[in-house]
Amino acid sequence: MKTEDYKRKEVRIRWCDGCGLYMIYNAVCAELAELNFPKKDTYVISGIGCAGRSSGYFDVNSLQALHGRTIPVAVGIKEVKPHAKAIVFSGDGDLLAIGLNHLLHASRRNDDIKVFCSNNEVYAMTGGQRAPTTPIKRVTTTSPYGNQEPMINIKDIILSHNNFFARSSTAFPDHLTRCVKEAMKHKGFSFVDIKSQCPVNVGRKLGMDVAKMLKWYKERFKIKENVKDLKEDELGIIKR
Amino acid sequence: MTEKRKEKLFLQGNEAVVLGALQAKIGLYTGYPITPASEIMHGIARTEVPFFQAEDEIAAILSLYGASMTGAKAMTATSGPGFNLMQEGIGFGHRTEIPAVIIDVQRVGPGTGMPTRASQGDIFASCVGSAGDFFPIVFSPNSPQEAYEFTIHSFNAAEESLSPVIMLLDAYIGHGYETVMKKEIPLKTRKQFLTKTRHFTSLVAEDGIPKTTDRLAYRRVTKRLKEKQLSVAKHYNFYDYHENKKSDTLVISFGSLSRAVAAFKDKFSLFRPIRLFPIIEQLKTISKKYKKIIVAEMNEGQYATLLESFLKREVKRVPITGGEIRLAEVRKALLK
Ligand SMILES: Cc1ncc(C[n+]2csc(CCOP(=O)(O)OP(=O)(O)O)c2C)c(N)n1
Repeated sequence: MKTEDYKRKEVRIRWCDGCGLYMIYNAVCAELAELNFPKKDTYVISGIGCAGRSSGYFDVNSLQALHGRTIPVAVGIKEVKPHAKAIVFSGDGDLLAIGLNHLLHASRRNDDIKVFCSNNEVYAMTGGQRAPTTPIKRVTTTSPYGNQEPMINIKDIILSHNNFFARSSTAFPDHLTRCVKEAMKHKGFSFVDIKSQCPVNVGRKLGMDVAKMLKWYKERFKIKENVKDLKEDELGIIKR
Repeated sequence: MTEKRKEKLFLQGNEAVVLGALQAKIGLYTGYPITPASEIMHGIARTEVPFFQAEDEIAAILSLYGASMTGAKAMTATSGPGFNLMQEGIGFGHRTEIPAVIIDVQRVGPGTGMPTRASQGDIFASCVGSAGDFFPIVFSPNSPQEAYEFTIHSFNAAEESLSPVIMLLDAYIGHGYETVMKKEIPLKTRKQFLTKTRHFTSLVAEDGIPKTTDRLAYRRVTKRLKEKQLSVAKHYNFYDYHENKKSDTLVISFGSLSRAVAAFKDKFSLFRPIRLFPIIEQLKTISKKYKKIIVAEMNEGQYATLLESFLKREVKRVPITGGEIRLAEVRKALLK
């Protein structure tokens, strides 16, 4: 099958121009096409937020859960259809704030769920508030003088259960494709943290347009190969 | 053992729920431990039925929808504090139109309350606890026998209505042992659920296309859902009515308290809704015959409040609260 076959034609995509979500969406559709995975056995679950709209754009069986509740839905699917591919595609706020308990336990149980986290380092849909992924000193609508809270270390949480962890970015499309592929191939719980540009709720506040944001991401993030660990701004795949 | 004797069991209400769920062909059970509902989970865990012990009740209810969207029948059971956590999932299930069964073995709340004691305090929570408009089907059996049968009816009603159906038990029924007779109840199965790819969302949508700023779409969807719930409910029009020609008073009660109220059938006419919601339509005509209507329930008058607006007349509240039913207290309260 082709990438386009996994895209739902009858809906209009509502993401802003230049949003990183388009690239993650494309990468996941492309990998599904590559795997030729039967649509009836493919489930895409998203939560709430800009990333949360993703499930409605796939032409597979899909469900938009409540805020933070993607993983329980995927667990329910796998319980009764163990051979199905359960893909969770959601935002950093959705997965790592309100949904963290579910993520943590799915990781602990090593549930066979593929999690793609669109990480724009804010709650975008609701107006660019600070998220658990917001870097120190970053100005957001709820940290007008600069964020003072440390960000969540989701990598170590996932790795503490010896699960698949990858960090990539929409500024590195080839790397992103590779991470999506490896995550899909992995048997068991896998988590891909995708640093993704939000030109509206992050870019505008920092005085950057899409091009500037992508340039900034290219400078900020470094790809590492065959590593056992990743520093904060390093991208790579860790399988233990 | 003869065939006949095999059909007759001695079970507590919670075990009867398991029996009913197995007969209804449950495909997934999910839950989080809580008194007085845990025996349902213990029972399921010893069967072949897929079982997910969730990290919390939010995960428990949402995972039902995951299983159910693939076509499986799914159920969870809890009590007050867990039922609170499930609220977001109830409205969600109504809007996404995915069937599920939720059992609430009520204990005295709010908060931690009296964990081992019975109550009927979750009447409001069962029908108005989730945000927005929705039209739930809620059953309230009053014995292990009925807990068994209405578990099957709950699955059937869920399959027919494509909505989360709630069955309210309480600690008396959940933990009390009685004879349960196995019974044949035809099973319902939803049609054409996942024939092609389908998108489920709780956004206001038609045919999976979100219409989040279209007021007319909202009204169309809500009207359709309401009519669907009311028409499916008609197939489950379960109630008991005992007419006492000498009495000008109708006493309404349900669940375990109705067992105690039954002792006063020589004094009053009695009405027992087994389907609490949508409220039994016949009650409108029946109630017209009576000068006085009393609603006895194990809370401060939740069902009474909803009945008043349904019947458009005042009813007398008889709250039997604190987690115990004493016949002398019920008598005194009814005759006062
Ligand atoms: C229970 C609940 N709380 C709050 C909201 C409001 N809300 C909608 S989207 C969102 C943030 C989503 O952020 P994220 O997951 O990072 O996704 P993004 O929009 O950045 O893609 C919030 C808080 C909600 N829908 N439900």
